[in-house]
Amino acid sequence: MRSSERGDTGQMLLASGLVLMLSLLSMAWYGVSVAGLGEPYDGGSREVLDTSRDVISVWQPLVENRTADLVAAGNDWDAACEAAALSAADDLMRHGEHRGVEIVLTDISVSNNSGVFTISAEAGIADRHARMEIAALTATVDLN
Amino acid sequence: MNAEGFDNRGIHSDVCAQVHVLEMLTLFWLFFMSATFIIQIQVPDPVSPASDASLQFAAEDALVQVIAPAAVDSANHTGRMGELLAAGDLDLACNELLSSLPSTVQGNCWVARDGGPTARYGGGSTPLGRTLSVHELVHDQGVVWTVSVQVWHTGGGA
Repeated sequence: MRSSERGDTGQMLLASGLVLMLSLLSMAWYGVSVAGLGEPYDGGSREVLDTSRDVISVWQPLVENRTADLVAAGNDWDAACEAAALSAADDLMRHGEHRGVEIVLTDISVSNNSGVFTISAEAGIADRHARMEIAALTATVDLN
Repeated sequence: MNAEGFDNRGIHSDVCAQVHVLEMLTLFWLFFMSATFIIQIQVPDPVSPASDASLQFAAEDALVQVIAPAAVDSANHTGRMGELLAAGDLDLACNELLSSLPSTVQGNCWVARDGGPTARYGGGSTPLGRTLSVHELVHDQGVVWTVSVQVWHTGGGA
């Protein structure tokens, strides 16, 4: 009789354990499906990397072309380089607004070495996923 | 106490306590499942990541197909897209871009010059369902263009 009681208890324990496992599994499944709502794939998750690639590739030709245009329009070389860099920074910032990324160019400096101008800037690119800082964004313009 | 020195009554009550705990958990589970059945909360499946990724790849491929080819006047332009934009053929540039999309994907093309606002060019239509936008910065002759393509699935296809 005692052996039968112990067997019943064991079976009940086993059955209860199985039900407990099923309950935990079902609740976990339900919880995961609820938690997964509102978190679809975000195509903009690598936008900072793409934007930084674009900014780096565009900076040199953009500043070079704009400086050449400003010099051709009769501007002073130093002023032309500085104006080209500032306008490029403004336009890149607007471009960032279009794609949901903040592009801020700071510490823009122009140095002249016998007519070869080096325009440097520090770029900060950020969105809600990531932030990147490009310490030395440089363009070289030879006005000789 | 038995011959081995164990208190069988104590063990028996412990097992009963464990069983009761498990019974309570089982009852909670039954309550939980009954509640979900009665309340009928419809939890939709999230959008498949593959679905959005395929949209993104379609848009990026279309941009590459239009931007990558060399310009007819390659001495003065960085690429085919830049050449079209510089010439003011914004509709033509956008139509080339949109025609590069797969047949199961449709899109709208948006272009902004320098710091100006974006405007829609080329053919296009009203988006259906979820859309995804891919942007590209195109430089040509000192002008920066923001080219954005907004795409969505239309279904069907091979």
